[in-house]
This record gives sequence, C-alpha cells and structure tokens, in this order.
Amino acid sequence: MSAIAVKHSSVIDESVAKLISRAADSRGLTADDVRPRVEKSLTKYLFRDNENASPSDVRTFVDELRADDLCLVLACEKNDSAAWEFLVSTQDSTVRSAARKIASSAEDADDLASSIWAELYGLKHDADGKLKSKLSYYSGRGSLGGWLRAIVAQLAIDEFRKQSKLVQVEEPREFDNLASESTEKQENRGFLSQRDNPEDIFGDKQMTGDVSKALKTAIASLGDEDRLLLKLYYFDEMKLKDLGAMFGYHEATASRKLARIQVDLRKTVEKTLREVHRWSEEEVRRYLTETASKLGISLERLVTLFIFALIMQDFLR
Amino acid sequence: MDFEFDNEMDAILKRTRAGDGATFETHPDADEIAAFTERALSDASRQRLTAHFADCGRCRTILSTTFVFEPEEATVAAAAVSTETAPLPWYRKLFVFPQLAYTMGALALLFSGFFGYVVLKNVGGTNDVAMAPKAKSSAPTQTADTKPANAPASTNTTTNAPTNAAPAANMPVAAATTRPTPVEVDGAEDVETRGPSATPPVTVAVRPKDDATRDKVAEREPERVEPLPLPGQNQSQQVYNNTQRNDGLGSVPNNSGVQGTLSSPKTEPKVNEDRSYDQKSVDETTRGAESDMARKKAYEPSKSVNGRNFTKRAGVWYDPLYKNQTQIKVRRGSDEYKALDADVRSISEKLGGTVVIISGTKAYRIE
Repeated sequence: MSAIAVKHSSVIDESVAKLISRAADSRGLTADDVRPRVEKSLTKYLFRDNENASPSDVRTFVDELRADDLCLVLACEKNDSAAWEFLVSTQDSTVRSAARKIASSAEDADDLASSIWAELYGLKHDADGKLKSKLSYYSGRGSLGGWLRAIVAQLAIDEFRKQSKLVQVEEPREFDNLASESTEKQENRGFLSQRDNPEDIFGDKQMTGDVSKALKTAIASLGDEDRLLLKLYYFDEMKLKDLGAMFGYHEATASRKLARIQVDLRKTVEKTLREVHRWSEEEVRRYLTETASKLGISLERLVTLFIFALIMQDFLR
Repeated sequence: MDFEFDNEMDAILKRTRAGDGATFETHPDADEIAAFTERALSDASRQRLTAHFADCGRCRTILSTTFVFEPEEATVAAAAVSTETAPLPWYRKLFVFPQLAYTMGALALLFSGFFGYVVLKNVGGTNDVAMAPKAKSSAPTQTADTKPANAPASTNTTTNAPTNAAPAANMPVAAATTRPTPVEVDGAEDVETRGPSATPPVTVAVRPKDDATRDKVAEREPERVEPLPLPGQNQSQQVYNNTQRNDGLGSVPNNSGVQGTLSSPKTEPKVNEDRSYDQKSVDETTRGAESDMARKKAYEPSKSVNGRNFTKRAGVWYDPLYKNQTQIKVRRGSDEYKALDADVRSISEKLGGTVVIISGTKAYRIE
C-alpha cells in the first residue's frame, strides 16, 4: 500500500464498503477482495496527478467506479465459474463485434476474439501460481465493454505493426518526395514545374523543403488538444461527430476548432517562411496560393499530406 | 568482425528518434484508453493523455479504433450529451425523437376522434326532430323489405348514380345496420330521382313515406351515435361504426323535400353477413363509454427490459418496484450517471427518454 493510500485508509475502507453495497450483484466479494483493486485504481488515476487529494476526492473517485463491472471482474479473477459464464455471455458479442470490424475476414475475427478471451483468462502463472490475466488491469474507471474494445484494438494494432515490420517496407517518404511523385500525375500538372534546368529543379525542391519544415514547426506549436484533434481528423479519419463525442462538445464546435487550427497553421507557416527562410511576401503568396491551386488542392490537403508523411514515420517505426 | 543486431537498442532508438516525447513506459494501457474515450478521467489525467496521443501514432490509432468500435447508440448518446445547447423547453421536448412519434400519434388520434365526433354529431343532430320518439327502439334489425348494405342499389345513392324508383323501404336508410333517427322528411322518392345537388350533404336518414316501413326503420335506429372505435375494439363494433359513416344518407334541407345529393362513399361498407351482430353491437355501444377507461388503461405501453416489466405513464417509464419513493434526478452523461450501476444504465439506454429505476433502495429518475 502506498503512503498516500495509508493516509486515506479509513476513507478507502468506507468507500469500498459503499461500492460493494452499490453493486446489484456483489458476487460474494468482501472488502478484502475489492480493496486492493480500488487502491490500485486510486494510485493510477487520482494520486498520480494529485498527491494532495482530499478524502472527499477519494470518496468521489470510488463512487464513480463501475461497481457491477468491477465485482464481476474480481469474481472472475477468483475463478468464480458463474461469474465467468456471465462475463462471456454478456461480453462475447462485444468482443466479436469489435474483432469483426477490424479483422479482414471472419476467420481472422474469430481468431482475434479467441486470443482476447485466452488473454483474459490468463495464459501464464505468476510467482504465486495464479493465472496472469489481463483482467487484473481493469480498474473499474471506464465501462467493462469499453475496456474490452480497447483490448481488441490494442491487440489488433500491435499485431498489425509487428507484421508490418516483417515486410520490406519503403523508407518513410518525406513531404517533398510525395510532392515529387505527384508530378507524374497528369491532373496535378506537377507540384514541381517540369523544367529541365537543374537549378530550377533544385530551387523548387528547396522551397518544398522550407514549407515542410514550416508546417512541422507550426504543428508542433499547436496545443496538445489541437494537435490531437488535427491528427485524429486527418489521419485516423474520425468524423466530426465522433470527435465531438470524445472531447465532450458539439460536432459544430469540432468543425469550428478545426477551421481555427487551419487558420493558425497558415499564419504560422507564412510567418516562418518569411522570418526564418527569408521568403518575400510575394513568394509566400505565390507558393501557398498559386502553386497549391495548380495542384488542385488547398492548404488543407498540403497539411494532410505532410501529416500523413509524419504519421507514416511513426507508424512504421 | 561481425556485430549482432541489437534488437533492444534498435527499438529504443527508433522510439526516441522523432522525439515524440512518449517513451515505452508512458504508453497508456487499454484501461486508460477506454476511460479516455468515455470521458471518465480527471482533467489532469485527460490532459496528460491528450499530450501523449497527440504525439504517439500507435496509441492514437488504438484510441480512434476503440472509439469506432463503440456501439452506435452509445456514440449518439455521447454526442447528444455533449451538445452545448441549453436544455430544451417542455414544448420543444415534445418534438424531440422519440417523443415526436408519440406526439404525432397522439395528435392523429385526437384529430380523428374530433373529426369522427363532428361527423357523428351531424348525423345524430337530426335525431332531435319530431321523429325522435319513434327512434326509441330496440336493436335495429334488417327486415325482409330492406336490402343489405352490400347491395349497392339500395344502400348507396351516390351523386353520380341515379337509382330506380324503388320503394321507400329500399332507400339507403334501409341498410343492414343501425343509423341515427332520421329527420321527418317527406318526398323520399325525390332522393332517387333527382340528381346531384350542390348542397353539402348532411348525413341524415330520409324518412320513408310508408308508415309500416317507417316503423321498421325506427326500430333499427339506435338511441345515440357511437364514437370511433378505439384500437382493440372488436370487428363487429368497427364494422358497425363504418357502416354508420358509410351509409348513403341523404342531405336534407328543411322540410321542403329532399334535394338530392346523398353523401356516400364510393366503396361499399363491408357488412358482416351475420345479422345477429346488430343486437350485439347495440349492446356494446351502450357500454362503450364505460369501457373506454378500461381500454385506455389496458393500452398503457409496457416494456420488458433486463427482466423487469416497465410501464409508461405520462411519458415516463416506471420500474414495477417503484412505490412513490423519493426520486433522485440524474441526467444522462453526468458524473452521477456514470456512477450508476451498469444494469441501471443499460436499462436507461434501452428505454430512452425519462426513466424511473429502482436500484437497491433508491429510485433514480434518469432524464
């Protein structure tokens, strides 16, 4: 037990008793069964960010834990067969549904779901001879269904990344390489003008490099939430409605925030190009407006391409 | 000299190469990711994880994938809760789905009830005229002189279909069903011979001239006009009401004779060939008002959720265990709501709208 937990021992005892009484089915668990998990949750979420948490904070935190889900998980860890039956019967559809959405075939989805259940049950034993189950990581803070969905996503993404590394992949492409390749496309009319003069070609490449650096600076200067919002929208292709639901505001607000971020990015890029790379006003205007319009894309798509390149670097690492 | 590839150093170096600020130890686990998607974290935890997700592609992919896995109804509920608009006033709440369906259904029912009442009132209005005493009759029966309602010639004198000069007994009034007391008007034959009239039809019966027939008609006339059937009413009752409305009852001005146009539907009412329903229908109509309340009560919607049979009253779903305990108001999406048991929240999500649920000894009113 951590020092902070010792300090709040009586409050934790009281809150644990209340949690057990709050559960519709406590499954025969006692305070001794529940308390260690509650302390772990408190340490992980409350005391980590707030060492001076008050007794009231501790009570509120424990009151917000999912009593039924937590008792079910703890009972399963105690090898309560009725609890396991209930867990499988109520959550198997959640696991399979999530697996089907991410797997490429029904067979892969079944394999993924089976792997999840195997991990939940526990494949190895710890020093005390108990099965090491993923259930021990559930804190009760979020819903059990949400946690299982996250487990499926985590397992699937990690598996995909592992397999990706086994395949010979191309080097991550920088923004300027992407732009160069686009010259091959007729409809783009060439991001870089198709000239034979090597000096002109070099000049264009230099300009592209400056823009990519300016974009990188601009994105790094964004706040954490703005940066996350930008990347979730452009790379993870989350809908505005989902973004709003995740962050706790309306879809229209998410749209306004994105528009504001684009404006901020543009201002920062223009400022960086002028001040750091010594571009003239005319060059900035010509590059961002005219050249982008030649591509048939707007600054938004430039940002998308750049972010894509950055993300590919992260993802393939 | 050959060196073996150091996988561990390779992994560490790759992670720190882009300077994403996220080391191996600080990647959030599934529990934190799930709590983040459900907004079940404190502000400090949320900020810490936001910073991580903004720079870590792997964790952000897991985050977005987890969110995509969420059931649609949970996403819709979260989106609805996250709106910044002010709470809706009560008159706007009526038009919020699913209340809109109930509102429209109630309006349709109300309107059709009102319309039926007006129609039947007009039909019954002529009962006040002198023929009223003779209208105090027992159940109407179909006599041999009258043709059944499904015989077009006798029952429907449409504006476009002149009828033959049939005896008065074969007038539209001679339908196989009961009808309001007819107005005492002579000149019933004129109804048959005259053409359409521009006057709007008033659904009244045309009194036949012949006394014997008149008496027989009077016997068939009910004492009062029946309202529209409620859902669940038996077929004979419904047919009775339909034939009431669909009779070819003529429009009659004052006592100067019939002027023609009989309002009648284009389709024949489908009358049960079994004439014994007439008596039964009349008996049932007299008990109609008394059974209205019983029918409405039996029609209260109920729904079984998670093994409990909830009933809906005044737009609110009530737990069968609710016995007027003090209700604790909880709004969906609030912290208090999240603290409720999964079973309670599951019931609340399944029923939708306002729900009163008993959990333990407490009654929660979830809105």
